[in-house]
Amino acid sequence: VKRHFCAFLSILAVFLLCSCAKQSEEPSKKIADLSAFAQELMATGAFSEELSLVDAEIGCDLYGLEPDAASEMLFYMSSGATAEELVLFRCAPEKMNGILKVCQNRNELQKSLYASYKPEEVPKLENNIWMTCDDALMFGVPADSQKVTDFLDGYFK
Amino acid sequence: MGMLLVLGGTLVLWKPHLAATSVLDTHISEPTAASTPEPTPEPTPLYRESGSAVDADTYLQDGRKVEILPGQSYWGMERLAVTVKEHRCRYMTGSGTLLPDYQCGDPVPESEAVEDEWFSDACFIGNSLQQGFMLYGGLRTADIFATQSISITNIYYEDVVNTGDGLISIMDAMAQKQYSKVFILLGINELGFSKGYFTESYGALIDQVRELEPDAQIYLESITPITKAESDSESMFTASRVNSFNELIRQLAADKEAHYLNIFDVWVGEDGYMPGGYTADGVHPYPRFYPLILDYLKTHTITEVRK
Repeated sequence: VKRHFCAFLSILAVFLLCSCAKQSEEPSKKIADLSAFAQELMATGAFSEELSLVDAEIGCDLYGLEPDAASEMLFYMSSGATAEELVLFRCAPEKMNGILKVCQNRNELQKSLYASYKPEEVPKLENNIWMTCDDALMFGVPADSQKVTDFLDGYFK
Repeated sequence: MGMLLVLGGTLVLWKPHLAATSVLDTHISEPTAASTPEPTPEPTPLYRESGSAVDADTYLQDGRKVEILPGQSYWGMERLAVTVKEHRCRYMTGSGTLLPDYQCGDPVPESEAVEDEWFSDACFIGNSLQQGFMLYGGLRTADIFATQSISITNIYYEDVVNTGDGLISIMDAMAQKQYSKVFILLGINELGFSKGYFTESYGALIDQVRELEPDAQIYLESITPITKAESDSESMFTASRVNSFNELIRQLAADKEAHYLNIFDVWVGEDGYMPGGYTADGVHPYPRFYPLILDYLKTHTITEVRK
């Protein structure tokens, strides 16, 4: 019974995760090219500084992810001037929850560090935004989360 | 210039253009230093050689200094006695050039560039600028533990390094492995400290690093420059404090037998400030400028001569 209950919880978690993703009446548009998606998103001006792509191995170290956690990983990081970040993963649906949890843990750490370091950055961390679509996961800490929401609405329309 | 060979613990001097006619392998080991009960400050003659194949004041690869005393003529060339001072030269560049005049506290001088592999036994620790170096510097052979907000006080206890199983402090992360080189980049977040507290706390950190990494050379990287706009603002970041704290770091290097790397020079403009076009916030340069730090580090290497 316990095993079945755990399985039920897992299915429920996946269901909840999927329900948080942007959805519309039409079938979800797949993100065929994570890099192009990221460039489009960053071109909206949602981020106050130009984020730079870092080596995936370093990104994994930073986030505490195994190098094989996802089939594709893109880490766009700040120069250090702000707390802004944008990360994208392509992974199997069953791994999505775990990766999202890792992103949220990092966000919590960042919040605690920035609280005394650059408190003005904390609201950005609090207004983090994430979405899943098919096999893609995005987690972002933008300067303007509304611009990200607008972009996603337009992208998946 | 001739060549100097050490074969089986004996010294052989060889001058190519004379090798065919000269007998230059008459090496006589005279371990007088070992047999002398009390060492003297005078040069210790370990070897005496016939033949002139080295210049006075040159150094052997193990750091001993060669002195040539007037001798007698030998087969058409001057016969010289060669005296070797033991371990007179303590430091050399990463590419192997001896640095007889270098002392800890001097800025590490420029030298021939080493390969990235030179850093394979190195650990870098520090603040957001060190993290920038980790993200954008392009060095993949070293371990780097750094993040924003780290200072000489919270580096011990702020759990910021993600091991996959949880978070640990930078000092704990470093202590998991024995390194030969430890590079420390701290100081910008401490500009609000009193100079006395800064010196005391940074000194204690160096002591702690030495305790955890007893075989490591310790490199203190200078605080990097800030823009004039930042310096003129109301913040604690002022160019004069950066300069005076860098002087404290240089003095710490001298006092603690560490090496001072003046990376300040990498990003500074002619006016003594970081150019405004380098940075968004006046302190952190754009990613494209971090490889310049790696270039600097590769051309400013120093290590202890192997005894």
